[in-house]
Amino acid sequence: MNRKIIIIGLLLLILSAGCDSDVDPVLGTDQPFTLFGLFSPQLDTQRVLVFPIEPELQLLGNEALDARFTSTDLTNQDMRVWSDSILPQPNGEVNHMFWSSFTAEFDHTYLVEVEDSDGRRVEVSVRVPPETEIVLQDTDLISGIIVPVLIPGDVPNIFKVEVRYGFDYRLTTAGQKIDNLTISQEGRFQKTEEGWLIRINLRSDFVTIRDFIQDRLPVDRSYGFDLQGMLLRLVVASADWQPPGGVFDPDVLVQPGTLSNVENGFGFVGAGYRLQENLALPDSVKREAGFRIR
Amino acid sequence: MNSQLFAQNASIRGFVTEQATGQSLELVNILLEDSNGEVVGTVTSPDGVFQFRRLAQGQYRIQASFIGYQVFRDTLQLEWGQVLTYNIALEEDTGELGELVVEAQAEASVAAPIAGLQTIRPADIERVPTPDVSGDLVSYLTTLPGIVSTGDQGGQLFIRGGEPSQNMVLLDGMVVYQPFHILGFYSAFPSDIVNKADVYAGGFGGKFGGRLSSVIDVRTREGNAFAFSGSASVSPFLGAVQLEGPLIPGRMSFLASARQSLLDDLAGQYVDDPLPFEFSDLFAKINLDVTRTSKLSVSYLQTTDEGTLSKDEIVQENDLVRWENRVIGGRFLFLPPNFGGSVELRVSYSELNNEIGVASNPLRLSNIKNTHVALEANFPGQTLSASAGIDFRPITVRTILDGLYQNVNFRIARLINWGNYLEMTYRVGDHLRIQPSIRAQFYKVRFNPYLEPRIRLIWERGRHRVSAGTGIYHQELLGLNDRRDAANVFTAWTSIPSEDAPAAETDITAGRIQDAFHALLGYNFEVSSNLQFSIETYYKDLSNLFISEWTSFPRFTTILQPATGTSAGFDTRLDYQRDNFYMHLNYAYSATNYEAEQASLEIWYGEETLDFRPPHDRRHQANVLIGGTVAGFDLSARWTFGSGFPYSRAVGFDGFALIDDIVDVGRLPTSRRVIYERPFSGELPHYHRLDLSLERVFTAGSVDVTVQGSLLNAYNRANIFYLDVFTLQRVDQLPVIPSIGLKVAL
Repeated sequence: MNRKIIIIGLLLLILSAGCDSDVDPVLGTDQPFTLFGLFSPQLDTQRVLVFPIEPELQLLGNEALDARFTSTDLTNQDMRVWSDSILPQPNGEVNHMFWSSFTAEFDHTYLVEVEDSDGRRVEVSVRVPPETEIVLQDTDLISGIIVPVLIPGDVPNIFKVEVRYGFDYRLTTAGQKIDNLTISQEGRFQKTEEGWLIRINLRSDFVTIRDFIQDRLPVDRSYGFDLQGMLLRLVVASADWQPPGGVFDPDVLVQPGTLSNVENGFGFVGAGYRLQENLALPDSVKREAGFRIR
Repeated sequence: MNSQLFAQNASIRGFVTEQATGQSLELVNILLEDSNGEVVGTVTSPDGVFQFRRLAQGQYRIQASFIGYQVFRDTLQLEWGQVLTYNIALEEDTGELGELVVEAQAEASVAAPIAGLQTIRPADIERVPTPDVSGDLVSYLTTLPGIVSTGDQGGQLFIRGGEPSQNMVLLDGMVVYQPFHILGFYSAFPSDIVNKADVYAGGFGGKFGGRLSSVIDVRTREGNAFAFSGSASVSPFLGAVQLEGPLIPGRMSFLASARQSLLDDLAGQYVDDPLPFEFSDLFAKINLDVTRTSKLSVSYLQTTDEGTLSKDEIVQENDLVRWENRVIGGRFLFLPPNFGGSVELRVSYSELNNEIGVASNPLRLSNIKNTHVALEANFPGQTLSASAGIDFRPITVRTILDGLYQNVNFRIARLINWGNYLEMTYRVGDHLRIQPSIRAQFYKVRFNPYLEPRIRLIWERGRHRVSAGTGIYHQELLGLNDRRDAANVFTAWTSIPSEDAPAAETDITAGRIQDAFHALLGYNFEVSSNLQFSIETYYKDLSNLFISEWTSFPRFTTILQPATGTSAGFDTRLDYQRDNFYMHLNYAYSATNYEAEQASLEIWYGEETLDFRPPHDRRHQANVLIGGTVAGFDLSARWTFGSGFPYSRAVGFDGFALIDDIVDVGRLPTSRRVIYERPFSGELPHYHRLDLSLERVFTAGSVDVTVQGSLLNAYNRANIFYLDVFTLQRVDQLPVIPSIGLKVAL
């Protein structure tokens, strides 16, 4: 008798263990919004994309987002309420972009707050970097053909540092050709006491240009490559605008929490501006690097 | 001594068949006794082949015996150097009731697995409750411990931690890539055509290559070479026709089977839930005894499946899944003169087309084509048997992936697989068999083989049997599934990234052939003539696995990340059979863990690798199969339990834009995004279900009419089948379904 009771009890236990058939695949979160945007002194309108964090993957409708978006300039306490705008996307999605017509000030800190009607709020504080410039230094011919450039001042961060080289060369088939090639200077800059020092390796860049063109076109090698111009471009950015590994790889950065500075939410709001300068180099430096001098 | 050996150069070989049908008989005991009373013995191969070599001239008595057949005896005179071809036809023993009972026990096996191998006969299959009269191999497979199915929809089997694409499924030696129908009760193997199926859950020998996990080796019957017979059956699920008979009596026969689902027209009419599934299969086989020492067979299989997992009629068209297998092949078996064995040549072509979406413009498409040429030689012997072979497979895989949230991803790869193997069986004394084998598997046309040593051991004494197996395995083909679904039916077949590709230097996945190490140990105890207990433990170590990349972009992808894994567990079973009653109980514990190695993991989780349970890691599984005959009715009941599958839960959904410059963010491309919890940390609800069936055969002259009633999911458990984490769409497995089937056999 006891054995039967035990067996029946075990069977009931097994059955009851598997009775619940409900499943809740979305845990939900109190974090209301994800923000992506930037503040820039070079833009007369500041814009930030706001994505509500939803329990279902669905296309957003055309209705206004339940969000109040404000920014406060913590340097002068100037507070602004931003407007929502609806941006239809080619795939049928709709994005909400909040905007406000003002120019961000150099070296000011802005506090962004986005709140829904339930009082759930995200915020992010972002400091616009101070104004600076590109200062060409004397070329270092001892440790190679290195063209040093200084970005002076208390600049927290720079990225997307690149040089666009303009040059001409001759084809064996079609005469003279003017071309340009942009070469990243990733790994060639570092922060010093005076500011950011970029060390452009002109010889290395010449080899890159020469090999790139010669591999693709029938180049008249006896003519060489005549350097017409050299434009240094970079982004001066807020301190936390630094992707892991120094690379803006969307497949890495798409993971929530990666390159994120939004409190109680996800996403990233940066601040910065572009800087660019034509670098004029002496013919002797160009020749030393391998370029043709007329 | 030399002269004695020189004198022993005669041999006897032949085929053993069933007299009534011409069907080859396996495992027939053949004894040969010389004039001095010395006896040697052997058993027939799956093709019914036997052979005795190194015989002296003289008179011999030969005896062939097999349960259920009359013992065959004859006397032979062998001349010096003679190679005697001696074919034997065994007559079925229908004389005594007691022997019939013995036959039933032999056919419906209570045989425990031997070093991972389980042999399944049609009578085993017929015991499992199904929605119609004729059984199907897959219904039985899902009752085996260690085999995990996605349920009654989907057509995917996971064997001891292995994924469906890591299982090799063979039909008469031909590869069938996706043999399981979209409705989980059915496969391309109805029991009417099956002769036997060997299921190697691991530790398989060197004969098989190119797969990491398991082998399901199905051999079909040859068709009756002397008389026509056939059957037709219908149920709310399926209509089936089967026919066989002689083309040239005694020499040439055919076997054909065709099945078509009737779900939409019949079962769908009285089930509340929609059953948007349609499938069919067609099998045909011709056998020819070319000469007294050679046989030729040609087989053809075609399967089609179509269905949607979506309940939403608006999106059903985009979720429509279709696949089609086409397999054709020939097999030539002969006993060459002056050669101590049999030689087999197989040539086959297999193709699978798999797509999802609108037929004219599918969202995702995967296609695999494979030509297979194999040459195999078998050398049977009393103490030492050996087989050796070579096989060559050029394979083409093509995938096109697209979807609402992804870019088009196109990939095509042409692969060359070939392998050589040598497999031997030593009989050491009366109790021990050792089966070492070595396989050299090539994945390129150059000399860089992957060596795969393997060994199986079987020790039997009295009521005890201990078996063990171990080996190394490699696989180049990949089958990728969509990570976003908790269960899904679309598999993209592709290959590992080529080490010759331009990007290979930076691709850590390039040139890494998947490999596995298997080890298993089993014990079987025959408690009594009616009761058997068995337990088998196993361990699989998996390296260089490839799994789909993890991304928060809501998309399907063939971009790969490397992983390693282990699978360990045990299967235990208790089989009881007495008179007209049988009961099979089994329980399997399995723990499968993967460790992903994606480069971004350290950034995302602060860990270089990430342990997770893959979505097929079912930890606990139990089956109870009970049946018997009462008052002329065959009753059977099956209860199945499986613990929940892991899946990745989402925290929520938002959007993503890449901010990498001073730009107007209104012009940036954006994408929707999934905010995942740590991968596969959720667990779906447990699965359990009770199926019942009742069957009776009425005989009128030469006509047998079988009527069957069944009740599937008798207590209407809402077992989850499909969960799309993106849309929260949930599809359950079949609700309670009553069914009546009718079969007429001539």
